[in-house]
Amino acid sequence: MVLNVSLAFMAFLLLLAFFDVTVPNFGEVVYRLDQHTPLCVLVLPEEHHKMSDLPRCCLEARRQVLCQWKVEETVFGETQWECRASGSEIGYLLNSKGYHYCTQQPYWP
Amino acid sequence: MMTKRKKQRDLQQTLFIILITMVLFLGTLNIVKGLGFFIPSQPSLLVVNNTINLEEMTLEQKIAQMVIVHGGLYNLQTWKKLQLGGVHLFAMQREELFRKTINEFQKEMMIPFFVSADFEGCLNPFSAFRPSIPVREITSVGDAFEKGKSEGSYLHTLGFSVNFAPVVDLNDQIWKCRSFPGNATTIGKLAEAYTLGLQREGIIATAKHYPGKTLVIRDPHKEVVAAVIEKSDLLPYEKLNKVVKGVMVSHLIVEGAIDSEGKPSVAAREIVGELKEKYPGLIFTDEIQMLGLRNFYPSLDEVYINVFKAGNDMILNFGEDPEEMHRMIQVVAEAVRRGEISKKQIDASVRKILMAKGFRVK
Repeated sequence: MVLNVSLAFMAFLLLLAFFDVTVPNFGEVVYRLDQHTPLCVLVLPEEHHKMSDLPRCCLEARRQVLCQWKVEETVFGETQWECRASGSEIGYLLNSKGYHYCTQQPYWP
Repeated sequence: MMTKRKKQRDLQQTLFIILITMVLFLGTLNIVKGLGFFIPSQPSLLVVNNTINLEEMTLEQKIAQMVIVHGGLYNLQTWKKLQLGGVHLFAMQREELFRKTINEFQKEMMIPFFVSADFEGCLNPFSAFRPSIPVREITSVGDAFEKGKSEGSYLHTLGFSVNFAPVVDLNDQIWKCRSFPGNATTIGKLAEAYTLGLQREGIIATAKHYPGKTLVIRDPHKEVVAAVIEKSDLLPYEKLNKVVKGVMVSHLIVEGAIDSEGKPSVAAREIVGELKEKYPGLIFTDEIQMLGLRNFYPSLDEVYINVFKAGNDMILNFGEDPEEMHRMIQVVAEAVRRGEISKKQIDASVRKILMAKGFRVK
């Protein structure tokens, strides 16, 4: 019974997706439930700098090789994600709220 | 009692089989759709003696040539099917991955993709295996030229054709390393030398972000912000106009030495048109999925139409959804058919693009 209800729900969601009816995805739900303020910190060789332009931060973070879970304490607050290409002197630290905001952008696969 | 229970179980089982079949079927349909299977193919192009006849291209093919997307291999078949103008590559872990990706994209294409990178200032998509000197450490024209030449040669070897560099914003307050050091005149001279070096190796250089003040700290969040442009912001472009083969236009609303009349520069004919009068090269937009630009217009369709209508030659759209990319081409094609965007202007841009790719155009 439970299995059938779950399958019916899945089939319904797949049908909506096929006809481009958007329902909040996981990232969006997490983003909305998270009460923190989105945070992006630009890491330069000798300083950390808060990027208030979050959309630009997301695009720059997307250009890096990968984003991985890494908790860091910065002067601006705690961050949970690091996006950086290895060997690069520049990186981006994001808190969960900021990261989930980025994952909703069209350029984030 | 037993029969009723058995009947219920049978019903549940039948329902289970129906539902699982539906889930599998719909799941497959969604995957196939996501891979761009339902996007119709464009007719093959005829290239004779390295010459392309514009009249033989469909309107959709022309518009597609004006688009640069992110070159993720997961979208390989769709981007090829759409016959897009270019792919932009982000950082990767190994050099072979760049080569492999570029080869896959260029394979069997009648009109090759432009392949672009942001190898600029202190941003280096090859940092995992090829360090580079940040431009803030370059102070002489000779060094700037050598840097351009060496980076151009490397990009060429990998198969790139366009580099979105040099950055000529005068005051990089955010990264503090993307522009050459010095005042407007020095930045102009160093950027010119870098451009010459890069282009000598066959790479199209792109001065950005016109008309300036893009790397100044501000709080745009979800709105497009305005900046006052001074004459000095335009100086590097005046220096580069006769040399550089590409200019990238930003999303800023500007006033002062140049005025976008309350619209984002990239969608303002006042900005792009004036630039075109002084400058014969390719005009690229900054990435159009940036929220600032998207929030200026009530719908994505209006973003698409306005950036084409403004006169840009190449539109950067890093959206990853193949269906949406196809829809953008359709939306713009419709706008051309109803006369909102001039067909002549599209033809002129495509002509420029094809010539920059090394074709003769009839």
